[in-house]
Amino acid sequence: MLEEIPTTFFALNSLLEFISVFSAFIISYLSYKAYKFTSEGKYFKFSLAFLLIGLSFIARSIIHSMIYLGYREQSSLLFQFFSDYGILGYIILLLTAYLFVLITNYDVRNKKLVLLLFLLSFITVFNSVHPSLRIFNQISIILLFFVTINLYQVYNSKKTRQSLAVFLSFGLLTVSHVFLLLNNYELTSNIFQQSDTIFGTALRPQVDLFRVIFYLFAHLSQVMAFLGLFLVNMTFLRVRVISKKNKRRK
Amino acid sequence: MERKPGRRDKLEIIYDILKSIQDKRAGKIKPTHLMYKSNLSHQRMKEYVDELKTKQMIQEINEDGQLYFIITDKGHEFLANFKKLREFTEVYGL
Repeated sequence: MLEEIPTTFFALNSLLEFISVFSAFIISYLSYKAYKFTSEGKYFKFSLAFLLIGLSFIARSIIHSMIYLGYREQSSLLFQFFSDYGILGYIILLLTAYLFVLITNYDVRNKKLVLLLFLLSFITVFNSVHPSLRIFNQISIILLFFVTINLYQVYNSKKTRQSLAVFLSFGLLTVSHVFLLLNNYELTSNIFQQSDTIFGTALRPQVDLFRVIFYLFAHLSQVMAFLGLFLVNMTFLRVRVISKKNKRRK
Repeated sequence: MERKPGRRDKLEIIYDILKSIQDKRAGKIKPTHLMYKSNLSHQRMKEYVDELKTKQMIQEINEDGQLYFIITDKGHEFLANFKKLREFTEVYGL
């Protein structure tokens, strides 16, 4: 399916992914700062989560850059290596990150419960039929959905622009995994077959086209989510810089 | 997760301790005054004071046999950034 996507998309996507990486690293930095002041584990876990998200996007960005540079057509061993282990790294890093975000958001302190969550998620993803991206996306949707519900409650009590932006960003992140899930051939074909009674067989030949659209939407919603988080984080960073300048003046 | 109303978290307790020291005219506070100002029990205050000393946010000084706490540059930095740090942790539901 990736063959049908213009290679320029991968170049553009790699560039845009750096916004996501940068944004994730800012959140990680701010949370680490909170940890340094308080020594509270939840801030450290949250910081670690976004560090892992940033690293997972770097792994994916490398693969996309290699596709753009034509390594895929050359069927090189280097591309094969990055493609296999890059995706594996991407899944492990992102799944761990989402679990940490969920744990900190719901303030889960019971270590046995945390272990149970990790075991259930990882065993489900890695015991599924290869490739496990489909199950990974399903688990990600569930985890992010619960985080989004919590962030909606935060927005409801705070009613600030920042809390709205964070809630919407996590909502978009959840949606991006829904699109990535729909990108799966079997699943989309199945849905289209089920819709035969409504549309006839008109949709069936369009499966690949829709999969490309879903893939593009997935990446678009992800970039939009991190752009939202980036803008929110800049308001926190700006004040920090000003306060440091004032200190220097003193 | 929503915090219970009226219950301070660690970030706020640290803020209250540092603010109590900063607000004192001489920039120094006696341990007993700090205990009342920051609304903590003796045991809890001792734990926080020890932690803040380790983090070099406050310093202990001795003047004419009387013990005082003063705020350090790191402590001032925390107070300057507290509001934003608080907003950051709140919007992410921490």
